[in-house]
Amino acid sequence: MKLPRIFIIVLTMVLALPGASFAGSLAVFPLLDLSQDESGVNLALTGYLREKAAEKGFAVLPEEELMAFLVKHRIRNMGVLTSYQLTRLREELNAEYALLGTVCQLGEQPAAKLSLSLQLVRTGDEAVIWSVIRDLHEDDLISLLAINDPDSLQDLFDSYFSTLFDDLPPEISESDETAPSAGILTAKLQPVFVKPGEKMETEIRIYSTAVGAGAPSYHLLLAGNEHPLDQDPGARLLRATWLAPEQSGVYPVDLVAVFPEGERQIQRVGEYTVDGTAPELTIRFIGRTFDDAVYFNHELAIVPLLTIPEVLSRWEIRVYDKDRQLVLLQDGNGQIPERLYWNGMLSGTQEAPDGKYLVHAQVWDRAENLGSAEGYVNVIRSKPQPKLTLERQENDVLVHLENEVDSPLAFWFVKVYEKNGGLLLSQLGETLPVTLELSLQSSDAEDPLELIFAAQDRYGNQTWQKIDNLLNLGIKQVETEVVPESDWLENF
Amino acid sequence: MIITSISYRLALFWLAAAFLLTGCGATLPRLEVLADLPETPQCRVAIMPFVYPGDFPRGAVIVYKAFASEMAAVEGLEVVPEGDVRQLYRQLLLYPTDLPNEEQLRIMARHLGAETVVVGEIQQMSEREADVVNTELTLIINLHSGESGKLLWSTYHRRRGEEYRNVLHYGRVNSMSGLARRMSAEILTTWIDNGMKQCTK
Repeated sequence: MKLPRIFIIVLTMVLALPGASFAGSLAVFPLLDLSQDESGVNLALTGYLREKAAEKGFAVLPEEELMAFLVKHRIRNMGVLTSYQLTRLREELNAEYALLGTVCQLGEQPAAKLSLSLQLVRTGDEAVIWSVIRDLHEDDLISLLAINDPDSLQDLFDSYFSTLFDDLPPEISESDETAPSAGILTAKLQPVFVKPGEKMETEIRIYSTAVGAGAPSYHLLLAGNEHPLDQDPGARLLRATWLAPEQSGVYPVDLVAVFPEGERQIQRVGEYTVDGTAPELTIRFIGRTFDDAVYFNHELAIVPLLTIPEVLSRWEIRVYDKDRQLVLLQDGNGQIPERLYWNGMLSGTQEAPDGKYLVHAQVWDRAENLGSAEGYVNVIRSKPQPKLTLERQENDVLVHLENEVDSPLAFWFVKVYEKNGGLLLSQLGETLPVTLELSLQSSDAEDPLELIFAAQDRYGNQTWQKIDNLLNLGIKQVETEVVPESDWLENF
Repeated sequence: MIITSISYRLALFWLAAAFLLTGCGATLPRLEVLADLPETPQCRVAIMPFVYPGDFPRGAVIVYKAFASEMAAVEGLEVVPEGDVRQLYRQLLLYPTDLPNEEQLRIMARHLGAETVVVGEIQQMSEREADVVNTELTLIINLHSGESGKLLWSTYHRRRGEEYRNVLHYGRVNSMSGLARRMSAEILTTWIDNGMKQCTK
């Protein structure tokens, strides 16, 4: 009779146990709520989740401790944690697991729906041991006879959460034996582009789940060779310097953690590029070219070109005058513009005097290798200056026309009008001096004659002048600049 | 015999009609294999934030969470914590809306210790059409080599929630996250069927 009684007692005790027991300590982090915005938090659902996790047998960490942890580590984005933060969670709060989640969709209008993404992470090795995304829409629960159809979001909750944790893996309760891990928290590797033989340095902040005698030792792996690190145990800071190799190429830098048991964990710190080749730069000018010399008066296009295209860190254009004095400097970061324009000014108001100038371009690549190119240009701003002398012979007038400026002309033209507007003379030419012959109606004719003279030199400088009374030899300069066309003036 | 043959043909006709009318023409993900997956002892995958230029609220994050959740649930695949990926984006001054280039992918993969990298782009997503639930999603999910950053596999997948319907309204996928979850699972199944390695932990 005793045996059945004992059996009944044991059976009662077994049935009294929860369906599944997850003895691990669990940190339930506030849920990121995407139905609000990118950084929304849903504390109500988080609380609901905490209750369900506790019912499953997890030792859920107090909410206050978790909030203090979030504040201490300045964790503002919910739903995710870095490996380092998971390690700290284990060390500071003794949490074996972290439950991270995101409310993907939540709402009652136009139809009630709920969607959660959850991940259970083991803090010992930062492994995701359970992951689920589950969604429920009110239409999913509509039955043929409309019996117990959901009316609100609350009606979805029971159906949703009742089976949410059903497929948790049984291995959770066996999580104590996790392999120690070490990793890079932050890493500085500089410079990233370097010339051969130049100094490289790195500063690595590390974290490790193993402490004391179990803590690993560290060294760097540079192109397959071991390199020692200076370690600051208090700050968990590792530092090293070395010289870049002579051969150009991309070199990886790895951090090796060697645990006392002999296990090695390798992580990439970064890569750096050794560049021993200077950029090949050429420079070209777009202006008026005569006898292999470049001339301009208003605007010069400077076209720098890299023979082998590559990424640049900065550039500089310098302009020197004939005395090798620096008169202009333009610089910038990044790629040199495909085309630059010099307007012939030395400042906002000061024009560059006529003369020969040296344009010198320099570029630096990311490893500070220098490439340069240069060329000469000529600024010519002087306009053609006509000089007229008159010689009267009976009914004829000889007009001697010459250019006082020593610059070759592209063309010129002269027109002489009578008082009544009739055209007395029109002549076109390319060279000066020249003598023009006018025939008057009588030897004592004194009616004023109007002369218009226009010319352009080969550098593009133009002049236009009008003489109201040619026979009085009074040359009056009306306009020094080119005037707009009018109905009665010739095109120019 | 004649009566039997007619009945047989009628049965075939109704079977074909039922097949066509109940939407059984499910579309599978289209996989383009540009290069073989790396033969390395690890099975660690980093998933970069998905890119979505459209206006579905938080569309990129929802699909990302669904894909990451499904991938993390595949036994034998180790997914890099999302927090580590986002931290690296900040360090490299990348926005989550940026599509990283090959060099950036290579650097990030090495830093995260991932042998393959997933890059996702959402082409189109919608949940309702004229007040009627009509979920639709178009994805391009690419798998890159962590060693070189180069594209290895490219997967195009387009589905409507209606395509999952069995009878009446049953089976139809009514929410975007639900559709994203199912499509993610289909993509991962396609990858595994085509040789994606799962390691034993």
